[in-house]
Amino acid sequence: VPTLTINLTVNGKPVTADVEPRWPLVEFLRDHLRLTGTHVGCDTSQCGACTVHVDGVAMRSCTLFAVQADGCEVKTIESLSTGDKLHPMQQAFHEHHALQCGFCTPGMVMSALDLVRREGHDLSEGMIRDNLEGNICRCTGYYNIIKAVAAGAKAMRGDASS
Amino acid sequence: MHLAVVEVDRGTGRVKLRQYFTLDDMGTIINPMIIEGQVQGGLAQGIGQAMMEHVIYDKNGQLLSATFMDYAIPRASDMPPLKSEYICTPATSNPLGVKGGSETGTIGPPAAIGNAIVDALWHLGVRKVELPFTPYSVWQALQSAEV
Repeated sequence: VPTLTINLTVNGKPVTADVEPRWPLVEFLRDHLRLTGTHVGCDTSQCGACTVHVDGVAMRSCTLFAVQADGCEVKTIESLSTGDKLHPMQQAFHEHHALQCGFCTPGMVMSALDLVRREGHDLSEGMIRDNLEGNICRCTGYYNIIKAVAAGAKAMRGDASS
Repeated sequence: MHLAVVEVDRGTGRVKLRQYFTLDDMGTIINPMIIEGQVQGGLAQGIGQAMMEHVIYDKNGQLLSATFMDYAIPRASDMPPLKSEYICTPATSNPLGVKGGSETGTIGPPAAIGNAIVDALWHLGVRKVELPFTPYSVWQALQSAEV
């Protein structure tokens, strides 16, 4: 299979790679860069587990080709924590028991951060529920995720990493 | 014990969950946070079973609900406000008095929601609805009601 060369930034580091045109971005991230924090749930844009940020916007990396990320800045869940210090949104998920199996969590967190970017730090329950429409969770019933996103959004106020 | 408060659209058969109450006897509760998480998560699974999840095969055995496009499971906006309470009757079968608490919320919703729907539509002659309580199922129950 012929490959194409792409240049992109992944979690702040420049990456140059030869990729097959058919590779989804998530396959490139997981199998070739070994960034396995991003999960593949449904592989068809339904579940949101593979959500990453491309040029600052939340996108499904399972239905975006790696070649489409050429020249882009990609951020995955691995980019959020600083050493052992969790990002405020991750910390909020931890404190509110917002994950059980954890499979949907990377996507939930990345979607939540995109929501904060768009709507700010004071998020109503209804707004969070509506905006997490694209992220499926099978364990938590969403209750604690909603609480965590609201708390995480507040905690991000004035935080440099937000 | 589970109690559901529902709102039914007579025109479309769509059911909206307005409020949900659970009361469980978990025996001695060691970690309330985890128990609450199990009730909440189980509730979502039970609501999915009650209201939308349906494995459908055609007559040749072809699975028709093979993706999340066709097989609906609850999303954040499908979950009702929940009030959960607990009573404690320690189990006598073990020294700690503990009981299994995993996914207890899963069990109640089909019965509680089904009862609430039939109660809401009783005056229209509806005596039963078929699982899952999709708009189609509830609409059919309304159409075949005697009144």
